[in-house]
Amino acid sequence: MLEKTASLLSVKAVNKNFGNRKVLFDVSFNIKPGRIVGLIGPNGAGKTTIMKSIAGLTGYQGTIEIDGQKVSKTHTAPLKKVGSLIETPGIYPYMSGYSNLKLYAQGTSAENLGKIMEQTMITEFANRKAKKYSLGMKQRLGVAIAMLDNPELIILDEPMNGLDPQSVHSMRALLRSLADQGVSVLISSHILSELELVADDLVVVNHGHILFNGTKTDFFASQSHGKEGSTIVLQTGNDSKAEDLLKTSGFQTTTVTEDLQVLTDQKHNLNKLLQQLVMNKIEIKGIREEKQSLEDSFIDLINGGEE
Amino acid sequence: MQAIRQEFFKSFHRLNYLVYSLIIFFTPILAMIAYLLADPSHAEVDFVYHHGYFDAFIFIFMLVSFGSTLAEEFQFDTIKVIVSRGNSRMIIFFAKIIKLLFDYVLWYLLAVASYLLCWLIVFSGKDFGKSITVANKGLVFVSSGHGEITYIWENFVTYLLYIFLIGSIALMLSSLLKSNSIAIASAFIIWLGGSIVSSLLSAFLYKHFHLIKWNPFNVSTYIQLQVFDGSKAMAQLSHISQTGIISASIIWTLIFFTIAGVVFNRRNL
Repeated sequence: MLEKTASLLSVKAVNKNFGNRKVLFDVSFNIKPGRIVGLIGPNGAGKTTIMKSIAGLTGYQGTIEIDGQKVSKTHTAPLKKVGSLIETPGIYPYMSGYSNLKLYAQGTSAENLGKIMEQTMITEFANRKAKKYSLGMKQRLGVAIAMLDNPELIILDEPMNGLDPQSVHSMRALLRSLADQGVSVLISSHILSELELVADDLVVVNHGHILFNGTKTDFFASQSHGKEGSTIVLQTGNDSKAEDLLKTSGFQTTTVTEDLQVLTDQKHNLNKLLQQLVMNKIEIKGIREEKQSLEDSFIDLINGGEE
Repeated sequence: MQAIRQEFFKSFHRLNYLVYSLIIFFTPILAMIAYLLADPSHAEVDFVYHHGYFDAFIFIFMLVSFGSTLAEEFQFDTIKVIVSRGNSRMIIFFAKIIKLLFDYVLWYLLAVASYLLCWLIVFSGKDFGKSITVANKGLVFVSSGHGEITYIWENFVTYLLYIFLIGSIALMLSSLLKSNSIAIASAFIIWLGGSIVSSLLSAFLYKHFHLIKWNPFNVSTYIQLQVFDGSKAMAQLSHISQTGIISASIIWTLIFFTIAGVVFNRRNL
């Protein structure tokens, strides 16, 4: 019972075929209230199909529940708690952005509409006909529509498409603010650096299979297996001397775009590295730890899964 | 109620809807002006004889509405938003049918109001309510001899049956093909070619295969003509009785609506 109430969205053993082609294989994951979940995978991995299945847009085999109530193509009542932007924003071009919001809104007051427009930065052009909007404007209106009527879960498929850097930054802040208010967000994006900044949890999907499902911290931990350390990027007074010295001391080194990179582990750690350089009077001009990005880890995981 | 509210909200924000309504309203007025300019002494007779062409554009605009009501939701991807916000697809579908019915009633009343206003105000309504028998003018299909008000009412019902029969085909095609242009074009082809197909089938098949007379081309071609046919000549051409043709039009309309609804309900979006 505790588990049931803990998850707002529950996807259990979902399978999906397009004719004879199977595109989802026993997909299962949960989303808890107030969590931002990044759904990542290469093109054609099944991300949009998963989102469409949750949103009642396409049929599937398995179980999808929102707050304990099953959702399907023909049973969409639980989706009243959900707002979504899937593929392209669904906008009537002959109406203004404000009218589009009013059309879809079922229980949102004029005051809240104004607040949503401010949060999504559409107030300035809300009274213009939507057919005159740029892609970025349409995306922001699409997100505003998804936020109507106080949803408990928001599904966003590539919401950063066409957004300028300022809008991406605002979108990230908006998603964090929604999550802080207890709203769950399922978001897919090709801009993994953005997902890395905003997501709490990750679901990695490839060829319709879930490769990872857990917290972002767990994801990075799982991807650092076998590396047992980190990469240190050095800038010294004499890189070639430093490299020779460190190699002699048993460190693994490489030079990438004029930077000396040293792989540390338990035996050959940062402390030992610094000692060696200081003892041999090599000037240290700069030092930083190179963390593996979500993109690197994702590519490692996908490639590893395919090997 | 939410789905119906959305349908009305959309219409009232469309320029097309206003333009269609204005064209329908001004058609009898323009017809009246044309008759007055051509021959003022016969203007009233000509005007009433042609019923001021009050329903001339209703069919076309209704067909466009039938063909585009579902297709535009696919075209703009708005159907995904509507469904994913917890609205039942069948409720959405029925809301659209109700809105189409409302459009027909509104446009018909608008057209009739304009027609009667012209007649009463400009022509003083001196023949208002009298029988307008036009058989001696060589037209059979409006020769029932009924008064004009009776004609307007009967035409309302038969035109409704006719428009909804052809319109349901457009709706079914738009649900199947997700394209308003193909659906509307196909419905117009059915409308224009229906009588030809019906005649061809009649010549070759009706005598031997009686069931074929119930085909929608035959029904749609004769539904309106037959109701106003005092001489029953149309019944001989359609090979169907008046009650039969009305029932058949309703049944075909329901069949096409059902196919459209089932496809819409099951379609992956």
